[in-house]
Amino acid sequence: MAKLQTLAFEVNGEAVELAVRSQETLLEVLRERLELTGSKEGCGEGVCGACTVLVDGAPRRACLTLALEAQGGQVLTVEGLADGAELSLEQQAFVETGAVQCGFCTPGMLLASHDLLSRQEQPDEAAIRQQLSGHICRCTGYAKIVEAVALAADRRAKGEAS
Amino acid sequence: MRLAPFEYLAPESLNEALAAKANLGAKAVWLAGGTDLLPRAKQGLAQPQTVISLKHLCAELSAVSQDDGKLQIGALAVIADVANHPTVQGRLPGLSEALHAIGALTLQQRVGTLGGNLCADTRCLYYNQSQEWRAGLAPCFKLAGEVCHAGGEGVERCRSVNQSDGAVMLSALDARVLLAGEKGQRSLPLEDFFTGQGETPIAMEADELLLGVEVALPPDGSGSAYERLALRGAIDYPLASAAAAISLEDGAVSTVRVALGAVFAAPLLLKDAVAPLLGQAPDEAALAQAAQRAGRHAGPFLVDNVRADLQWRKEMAPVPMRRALERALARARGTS
Ligand SMILES: Cc1cc2nc3c(=O)[nH]c(=O)nc-3n(C[C@H](O)[C@H](O)[C@H](O)COP(=O)(O)OP(=O)(O)OC[C@H]3O[C@@H](n4cnc5c(N)ncnc54)[C@H](O)[C@@H]3O)c2cc1C
Ligand code: FES
Ligand code: FES
Repeated sequence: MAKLQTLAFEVNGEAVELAVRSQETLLEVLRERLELTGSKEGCGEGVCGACTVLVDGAPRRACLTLALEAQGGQVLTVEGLADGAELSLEQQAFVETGAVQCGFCTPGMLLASHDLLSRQEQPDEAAIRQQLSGHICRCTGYAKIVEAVALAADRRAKGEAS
Repeated sequence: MRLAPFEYLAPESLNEALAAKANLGAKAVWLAGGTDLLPRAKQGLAQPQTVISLKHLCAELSAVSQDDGKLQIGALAVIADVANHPTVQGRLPGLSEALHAIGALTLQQRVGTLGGNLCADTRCLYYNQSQEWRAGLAPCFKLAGEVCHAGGEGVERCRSVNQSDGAVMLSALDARVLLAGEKGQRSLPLEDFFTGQGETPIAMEADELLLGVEVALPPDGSGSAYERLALRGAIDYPLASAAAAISLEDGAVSTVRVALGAVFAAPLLLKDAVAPLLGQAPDEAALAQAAQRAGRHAGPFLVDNVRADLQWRKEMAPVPMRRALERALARARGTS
């Protein structure tokens, strides 16, 4: 049995330290050890995108990331998007647009959207679709999700609060 | 899906990494982006005793630089960074296309590395499956068994295929790889890096690390292109892919190199199929003929090992080849 190693990193702005096994994935640590169950396991093999979180600002499939790879890093999960009771720009747009049905893909979609909006001022529809192309949704047919991201980008450009 | 236990090392320097690998040999595997390794490890196809993370070597092995007419790309360069590099976009457009085709933007392209893409294992419909799925079948050649389920009776070795988009394009571009090991460094053409054997597709020793790739920048009047067929536009391996690189002199083809992907355990270089184009100023019909020849030469390599009907693949193999040739030539002529 592999030894335990100390993992020290930041999750949603809070310093966290815990002992993990080498083979534990970031998704297992987030969901089972830190009880942050917002990140979902759809496929467990990199195909669906439901487990997507940001590690040091870049999207990663948490199911294909060893927890120890995030050593010393900063992880953002869906739980870290809202500011208290106030939803983030993307979250508010998803709710208003009806971009959420069963909700299983939503955490991954939100973090992918967050990543896009943090890198591009005014992404067009092609850029939004390309960014979301790594994420599978079985319910919405994608149109509402694309609309939601466009709405969030639009609101930010106009300087409107969500 | 859970990973079986292993040890984890994250060496701080190249020397430390090479010493660890030399010491542990084949029981240890390198971890770059993990997007090829971890799905295989979850399925029990890779069973490392130790995983050696390359993350502390990123600063050292991620550069894309130009020197003496050659482009050098570090093995740990992230795929999107290579695809979007101005020299790659300007002088090696086919490489940019191939790398943009890999998986999806938020997965392989921001996390996966070029080195990982080149060293990714060959794949097969009967191999890349869960342990439970495979339990119903006898172990195949790639699992040290004595049968190939894709090829059926009479097939005497593993017929898994190389589905790496980067490998196919870089083979057409005649790239070289630089390896480091216990005994020092060596450089070899991609043609020799891929063995063509499904069981052991890559000619790397157990102590070696891929440091980077070197591509000669083609002269003016050159063009390259990459085309693939897949079931989906993203998160999907190619069912058939083709890369072409062409140079012209006085309007006539002076060099042409093409490769097909998802056909053979290595990118399949088809020299004879395109040789008649040399010295010519080919029209559309000549390119279509060359593509048909390429498809015909690829035919015997095809078995039922990817997620598409075998007959369909046989008929479709020339299609990406023709498209890649057409676009590469248009680029060489400066008409696209
Ligand atoms: C859903 C999904 C879809 C995919 N679609 C595609 C696709 O369309 N096209 C495609 O080409 N690939 C695809 N892939 C495979 C994979 O994501 C890419 O090949 C990727 O580029 C691998 O890079 P990595 O850094 O993640 O490799 P890793 O998984 O870290 O490594 C891959 C292999 O190379 C070895 N290795 C890594 N770096 C080195 C090095 N420097 N020296 C020596 N050995 C090394 C590792 O030990 C491992 O065996 C897909 C994967 C998934 C999960
Ligand atoms: S659970 Fe990670 S990609 Fe599907
Ligand atoms: S809302 Fe159900 S999977 Fe996307």
